[in-house]
Amino acid sequence: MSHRIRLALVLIVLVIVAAGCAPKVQPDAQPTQVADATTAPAITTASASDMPEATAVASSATPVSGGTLVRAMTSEPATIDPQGAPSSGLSLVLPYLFDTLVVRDVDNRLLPALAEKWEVASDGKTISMTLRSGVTFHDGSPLTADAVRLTFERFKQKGVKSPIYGGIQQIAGIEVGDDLTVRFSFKEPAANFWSTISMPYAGILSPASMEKAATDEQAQLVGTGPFILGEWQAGQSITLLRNEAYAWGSELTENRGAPHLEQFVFKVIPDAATQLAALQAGEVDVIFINNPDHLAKLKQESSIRLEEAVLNSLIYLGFNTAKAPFDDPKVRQALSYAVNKDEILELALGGVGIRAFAPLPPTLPGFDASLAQHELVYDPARAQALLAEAGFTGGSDAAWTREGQALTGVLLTSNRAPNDAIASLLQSQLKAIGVPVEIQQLDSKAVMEATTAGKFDLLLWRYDWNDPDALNIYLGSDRVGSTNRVAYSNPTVDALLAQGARELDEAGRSGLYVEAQKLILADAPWQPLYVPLDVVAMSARVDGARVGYMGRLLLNDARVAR
Amino acid sequence: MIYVARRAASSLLVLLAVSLIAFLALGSAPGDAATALAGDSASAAQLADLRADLGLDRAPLARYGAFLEGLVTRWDLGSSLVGGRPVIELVLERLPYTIGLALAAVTLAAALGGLGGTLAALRSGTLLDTMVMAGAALGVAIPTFWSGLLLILLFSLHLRWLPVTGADGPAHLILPAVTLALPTAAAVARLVRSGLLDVLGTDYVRTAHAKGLTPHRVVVGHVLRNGLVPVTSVLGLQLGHLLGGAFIVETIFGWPGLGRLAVQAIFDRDEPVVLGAVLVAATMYLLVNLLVDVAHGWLDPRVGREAI
Amino acid sequence: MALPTLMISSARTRCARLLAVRGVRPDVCEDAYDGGRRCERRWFRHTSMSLIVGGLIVALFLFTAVAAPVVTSFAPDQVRAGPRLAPPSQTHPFGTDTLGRDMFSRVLFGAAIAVRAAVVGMGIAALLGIPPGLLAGYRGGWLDRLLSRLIDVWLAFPGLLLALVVVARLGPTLTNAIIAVGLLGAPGFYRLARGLALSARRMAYVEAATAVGCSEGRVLVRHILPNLTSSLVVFATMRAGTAILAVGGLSFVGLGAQPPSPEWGALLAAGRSHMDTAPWLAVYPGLSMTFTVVGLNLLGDGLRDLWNDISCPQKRYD
Repeated sequence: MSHRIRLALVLIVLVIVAAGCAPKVQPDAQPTQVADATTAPAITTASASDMPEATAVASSATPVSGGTLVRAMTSEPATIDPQGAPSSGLSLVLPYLFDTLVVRDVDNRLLPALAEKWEVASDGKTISMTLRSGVTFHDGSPLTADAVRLTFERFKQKGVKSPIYGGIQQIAGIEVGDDLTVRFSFKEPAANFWSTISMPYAGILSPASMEKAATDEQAQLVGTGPFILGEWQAGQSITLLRNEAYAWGSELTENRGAPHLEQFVFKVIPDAATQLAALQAGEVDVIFINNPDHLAKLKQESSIRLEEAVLNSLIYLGFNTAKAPFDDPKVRQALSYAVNKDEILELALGGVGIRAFAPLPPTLPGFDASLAQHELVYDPARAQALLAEAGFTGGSDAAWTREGQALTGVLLTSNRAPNDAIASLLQSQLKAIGVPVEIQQLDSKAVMEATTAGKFDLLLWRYDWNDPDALNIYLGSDRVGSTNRVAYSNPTVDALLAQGARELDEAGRSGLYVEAQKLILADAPWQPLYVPLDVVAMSARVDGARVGYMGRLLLNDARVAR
Repeated sequence: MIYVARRAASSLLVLLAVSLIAFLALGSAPGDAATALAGDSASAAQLADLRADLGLDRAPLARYGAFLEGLVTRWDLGSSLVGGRPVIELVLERLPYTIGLALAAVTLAAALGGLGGTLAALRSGTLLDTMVMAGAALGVAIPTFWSGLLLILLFSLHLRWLPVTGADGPAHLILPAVTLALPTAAAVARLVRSGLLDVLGTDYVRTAHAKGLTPHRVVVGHVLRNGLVPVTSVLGLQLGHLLGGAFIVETIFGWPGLGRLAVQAIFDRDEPVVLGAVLVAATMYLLVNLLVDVAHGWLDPRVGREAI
Repeated sequence: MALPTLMISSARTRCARLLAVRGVRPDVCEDAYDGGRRCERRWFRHTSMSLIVGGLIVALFLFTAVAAPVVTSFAPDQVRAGPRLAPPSQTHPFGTDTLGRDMFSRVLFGAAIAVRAAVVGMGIAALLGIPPGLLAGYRGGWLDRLLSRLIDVWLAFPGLLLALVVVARLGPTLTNAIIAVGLLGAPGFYRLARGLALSARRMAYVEAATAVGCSEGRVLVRHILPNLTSSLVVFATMRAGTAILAVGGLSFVGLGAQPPSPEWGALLAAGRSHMDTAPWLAVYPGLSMTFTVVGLNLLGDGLRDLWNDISCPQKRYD
């Protein structure tokens, strides 16, 4: 019997020791961290266009040419086909293997890439481009107008899985002039054309490789990018090798020729905590940070450099405008007034994000700071007053009821990382004005199915789109029952959006979208919450790498210290 | 031999049933591969085009029938709806890693558990026994998703002895294998200890002692055979289970196994890959079960008779 | 089923007469009516340390689950109860999480959820697994083969995938995760019940009861089941621990409890990304889970030893 006593005692001691040994951490100086992060946007636009940020953190060793840069990747792409199914892995890899006709810089300016210059016809229905000469694909064949034509024709046939499929279908025809001239023709002027062809998905492919890939599933599609595909160890890593023949880089980087780096390796590490551990252990040089507490921790480490990029995305709280009582604008406005965005930014995001007040993020044309005056800023008293105006009786301690129906609902969201925290905060903020809400976290496909069928009340969702026609896609009435999940329908807004889709003049287009946004904000089908920031963490051994448009890492100037 | 043949035949039926259940269950989950692929911004027209392209516009029965037909006539498991790569390729790429991890974990569990249990039994009542049993009690109770992270924290971050992720060499295998082995080792240790203790006290062991056989030979010769039956059960069960992929450990350690492939396929609603992964896992499991039962029959003929 | 007319007179005498005719020792009749009764009345003499410690831990666990609202000073989902990510202190013994919620309160309320997971999950598994197992073991024959094949199909399906698919179909809620775990646990109960029924079939008292003419259902319920309860209770106690771990695992991968539910697996998932900066987020839920499961296992061990010590050896006809 005595050994059982000992067994029990040992167990108890072990457990207590384990509990006691939980490492106590000095509390971070949290308030200043938050303050730092919220001033981040000012730094971002500056760092993109000037280099001092990069050279300031000089490593002690002199960076040389050659060397290998390792980047963590959460999941690998299924196949490397720019026109195939999108994935986070594919977006990471594409910009290095394939070039597009044009590129955008962080200020949204259009820059020539494979296309040297272009002309838009006066009726907007034809665009002709002159290609750069002397460009070759990785398989040796030269870049010709025919290659461009074949690329986009293949896209129209096979690109049904791509997010820019819709944009590509708007191209009515492609004609080849001489070897270096391409003409795109449209039925209607397409203002989103430049956004479409500047996405990495629109990378130009070599005709020879397209032919091979049509019959042989193993054949790899080939582009003109600064790197060549080397070894791909399934599930583990993808290695890219320097393209020695590269000489046609865009203005985005100083070095327009072959990259200094010899090798660029993507290592597959699915778990964010493991990625951080790998960065700190020196196993990888670059990772994305999504976790604000990881960010706070890395800010204290002088050997890690952080760069932020504002994304063309928006996280918002949507209301099902087709379902009572959310079909009543007063109810939507009241609930919008109950949302405390600062609390969400501080607690759920650790300050990493930009508070949003408009349906378009600040990086897209059509965004205007003056729209802030239409924002429904946190005001719980006003929220309750509005509910009373809408005919509800009750209060913050009793449920609000109107004609016997209590005001309550289900908040639907996906199980992406900060959504559970944001949803919990929204729930408690709505509860504070007397509206109890239940949270349902489903995987994103289930959410999309439920919302297109209209089976929800409140939706915490996000969109990522690089053109202001996002408003058409997500709030246009022709998209009700598909991508317009909140079933919003306003004919005036529709007219403005339709015009905006055809307006090729940037300033004019912007103006139209600003008008549309004013109306949308008044109707309040969405309460915009915040615009996310992508943070790239790089080890000190990396020099010259910069974060560009949409968080893409520009590596042509990058060197690694030995 | 007839036994094996009968088992093989019924296993085929089991596999058929498993594939049908997997197909129906996945089909009834909301959303399909088209929604998963096209994402948030796809218009209804694009979704329709996509469904036609993927063959999802056929009736469910037709899809299942096509899958079976391909499997039976051409050993073809179809192609992934997401990337277009053949399912067999995807599975075969991951299989060696899953098998390697599973074998390593089970071997480690057998070694650790056997050693610990034997020591505890032979030194029953001492502090060593108590420590081993306390360790075993904890080992069974700790969740693997916790122990894996703790191990990374300790061995990779603080001590820097072992690499964090990847599968490039034997060093990468250690932490995931240990994480997976711990609960099984604990269970094996307890079984071995109680089995040994029971048998060490029985008549025939005492007789063998009296006959003059040394304790070592007594243990090895007479005791092991009997005690091994429940142990092989547990190890076999765990092996069969692990051969289907260990998703959580694979995620934490970045191990390119079948578990991650299967789970990602479910989230992508990628029917062919899910069916392929489930079939492979089920086949492994049944195979291991068969081997374990045959081993049981050999170890203890009485049990063997009953199993048939 | 109609009782044979033989049952009208005293059962014992009938039994003795019948068995005498068949040449079976009449003392078996004693077993037929006393089958499985404890030989040892003074059961408390045989309590082991495992039983006591395990019992104490489980009692503490249950008490925590029930008394959580009384013992804690903050509500588990009260945002900003304290500063964000504060380490353990007097006001917040387990610290606070990213939304400033009190971890002590969350862990304790998580115990209530774990009780539900354990009891309901294990209960579903038992309800689904024991009756078919008993039938299969007792009847044998084609029923046994059919049911065992079905269970084989069940077991051949990879566990996590099965749970994933069930939850994907029904929707990710805690209740559905518990149901999925219950479904996963049923084969274990089936096999146990079947094995016990198989060996019980050959026990003397069952032979006697059947000989006397008791219907099969009666034999199962009145004679076999009471004897098996000891083994089943032990097994169930261990399965309760496994159920807690399994539901925790499902919540960990995001398929169980919905936010802001403080289920332990969900707490671990949330705390996992902060293991180096705020380890208290993951340590306390992990410890609680481990501690509780250890307690349940110890309790199971203790109960098994107790029953082994006090039950009568059953005579078998082999």
